[in-house]
Amino acid sequence: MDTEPCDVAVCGAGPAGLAAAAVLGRAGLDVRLLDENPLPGGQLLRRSRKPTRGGLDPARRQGLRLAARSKGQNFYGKPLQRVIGIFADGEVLAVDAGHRLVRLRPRAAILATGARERYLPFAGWTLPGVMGAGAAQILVKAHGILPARRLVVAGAGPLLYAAAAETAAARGRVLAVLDQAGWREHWHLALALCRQPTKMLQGAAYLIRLQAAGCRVRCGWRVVRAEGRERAQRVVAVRSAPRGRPSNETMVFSADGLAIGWGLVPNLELAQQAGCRLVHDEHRGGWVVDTDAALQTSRPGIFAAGEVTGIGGGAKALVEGELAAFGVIDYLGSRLGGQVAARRRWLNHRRRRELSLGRALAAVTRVPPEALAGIPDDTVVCRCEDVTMGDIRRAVFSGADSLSALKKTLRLGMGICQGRTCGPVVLDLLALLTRQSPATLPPFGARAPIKPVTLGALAEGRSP
Amino acid sequence: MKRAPATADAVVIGCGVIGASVAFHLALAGLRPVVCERADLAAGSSGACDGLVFLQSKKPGLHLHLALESQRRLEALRAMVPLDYEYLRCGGLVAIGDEAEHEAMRRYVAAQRDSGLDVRLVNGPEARRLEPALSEAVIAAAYSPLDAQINPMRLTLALAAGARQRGARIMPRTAVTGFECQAGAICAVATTRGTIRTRTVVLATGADTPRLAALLGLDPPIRPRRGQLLVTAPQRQILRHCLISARYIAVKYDPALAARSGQSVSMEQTARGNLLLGSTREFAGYDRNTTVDGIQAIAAACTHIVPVLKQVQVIRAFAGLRPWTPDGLPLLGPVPAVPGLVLAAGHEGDGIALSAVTGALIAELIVNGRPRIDLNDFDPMRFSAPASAEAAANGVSP
Repeated sequence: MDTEPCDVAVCGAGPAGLAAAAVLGRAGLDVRLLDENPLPGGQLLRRSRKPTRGGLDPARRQGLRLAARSKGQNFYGKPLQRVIGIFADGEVLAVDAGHRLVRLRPRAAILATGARERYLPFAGWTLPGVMGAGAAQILVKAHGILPARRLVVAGAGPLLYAAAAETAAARGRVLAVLDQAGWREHWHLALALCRQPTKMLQGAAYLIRLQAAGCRVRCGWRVVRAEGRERAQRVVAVRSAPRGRPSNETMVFSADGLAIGWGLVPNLELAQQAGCRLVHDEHRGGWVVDTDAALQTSRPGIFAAGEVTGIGGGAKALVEGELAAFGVIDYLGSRLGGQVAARRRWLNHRRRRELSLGRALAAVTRVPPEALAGIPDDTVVCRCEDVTMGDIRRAVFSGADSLSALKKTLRLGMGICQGRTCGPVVLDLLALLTRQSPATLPPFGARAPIKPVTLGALAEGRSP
Repeated sequence: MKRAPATADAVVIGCGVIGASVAFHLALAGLRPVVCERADLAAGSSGACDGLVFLQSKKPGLHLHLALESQRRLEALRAMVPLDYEYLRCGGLVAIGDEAEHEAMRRYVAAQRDSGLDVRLVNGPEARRLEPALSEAVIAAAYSPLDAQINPMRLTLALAAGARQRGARIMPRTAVTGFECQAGAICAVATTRGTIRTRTVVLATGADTPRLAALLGLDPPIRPRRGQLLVTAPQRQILRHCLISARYIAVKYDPALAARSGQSVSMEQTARGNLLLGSTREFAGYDRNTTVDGIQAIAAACTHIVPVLKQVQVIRAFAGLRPWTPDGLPLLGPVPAVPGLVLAAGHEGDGIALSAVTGALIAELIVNGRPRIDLNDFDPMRFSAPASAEAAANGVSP
């Protein structure tokens, strides 16, 4: 099968990808917007069953407008195209819903692959009934299914409140939101939100809804255990110890569902596989894609936008999508009429504002060392290969002091998810156990295919 | 950062499977070697290869003899190292796709039987009785019950751990930056963690050997040859044996058959249930990237032989650099021009299978002055002698 030439491949149809594709389309370029989901919009705009204009959040409103408009454009003709690699010669390889390969040879590419939730292992986290906060949200919003009869939401970050409030709005019973960050971190977040009144309002609306639904909201508490015979039946939380002081205050909830999440980590696999340089920045969520001011990565012609350049939310993604598109237009030597220079200045100004919000988010979702140190030896960390915390401690003790050494010793991250779930937390664990700076510990490498693909799809049309 | 010791009985450079095995056997003989590894253990080809201990793919004669000896040692070593390396003598099949291959394999199998290998040709139906997943495209096969498979990463770690238990010092992330010589003989190795005084240095650096040898003004004819492989998600048992295509042997030894198009294949199902499917053989410099072309070629060739694989999911592709030599045989032994220097490199795709015997023979060479098996065929200098220059030129050149 031959490769198909085009001008730009945009990988990911979330807010960043949609914003980029809209600008590139207006510039008259041949754009392909590729996404593995059935509908454009990414995680932020994952559609609720009821039609919505996006509520209070301006980013959601703008994103939904872009998504609606994109469906009429030729560049988003085919949903369910999963990008599995970008190769050294620039070829973009994807696989479609019918297990057929899509081979593109674009002149430039934008990586807008978004982020996923970060999970922290604790005793019982693999029990049925324990799920990601994002998964709970999808169940409620996209499928109209309540995640549990009695739900506890725990972890860190604003997504917890969204998941809890939406479950409550669907008349689900939410017993508590347990936020590991204390009031101090939240105060910084509130300060950053002062300049974004709509986000502040939305936060307040969530809290009012939770209050009205009788849900307890507790800051400075973290979940340490889920208990139950065949599924989660009880959730045990302890009060975080401020400044290292030990605490023995505990709370026990009789709950059959526990939604968890500790902020987001960028989906770096495609950028890594494409050979783009990464940089470690704890204010942007750890390892992120390194870019210049025009959002071009270390690989000429490959740009990055949205959560992959640093966790910062939907508004940052929209701004960066547009900026990356302008960068691509420059790179390809095309022209765009109108007030581009003024628009770029304004976008850069907005981007700085969103980055400061990202910093506050990073502080709220930082996992405290005692939460990592307290993971019991028999708790599974790598779920694909059944690697426990004890296995990791023993391997580190006998000299495995890098992710690749742990992988070779324990098969950690070699399973079907290729370390996407456990990778970020194992990096934190390794930094803690070996007293190394996280910036000196590279993440798991990524190779094509970055997501599973059948041999039949890869073999199609090729003689043996 | 931990400093290197000031002196060592021997310095082994490279902690792939060969370096780990040399260190293990030196330590077993009572020496205290130091292993300098630029990256992590098994970071090079030993961590990016298949796990076949395939006897049928070895050249009849001394090469096969070494492989048989190595396999015996791999079986015995299991009791001497603290880590299980998933050794399984599953038996192996060489899948034959057409009459030309069949004819070549008849000659090849006869020569192997003369060398003492338990191997026989079976027809298509019998091949499918042995291995029900094989397609009708397989018209015959060569079968040996002796072929085995292993987890190459675990083998490397096991040998390194065994060496450490017996007094070897293994230093990952320690790069060699130079050598010091006295009257032409090696007297010290300079590393990023300090200088180690020693009279014996073993280069077990695989495809990276030319770079280190260049520090001593040498240019052994080892070149990187890229091998790409695919890994599938774990499956219930699909394959009972490890399997290669006759093209694999053709590509190695028969230039006439190698010139025809098509991808040679190796397949195995690991202890965990993942299938490892390989492998390309390409000269692409030191580029370890995978390519669309390589991935598709492997997928097409493997699903042609085992059609049920079409539904199986690939979770990863990777590539390793095999240390290629002009005649397909490794460079084992001393380098007269630099007293104290011993080469143990250039195994191309045979490093895992020959690891145990290589380590044992190199250790015997260092401790006793001469190994139990004569290593003349593997003399590192065989390409620089005028008589063999022509032979080298006739080989595949990068």
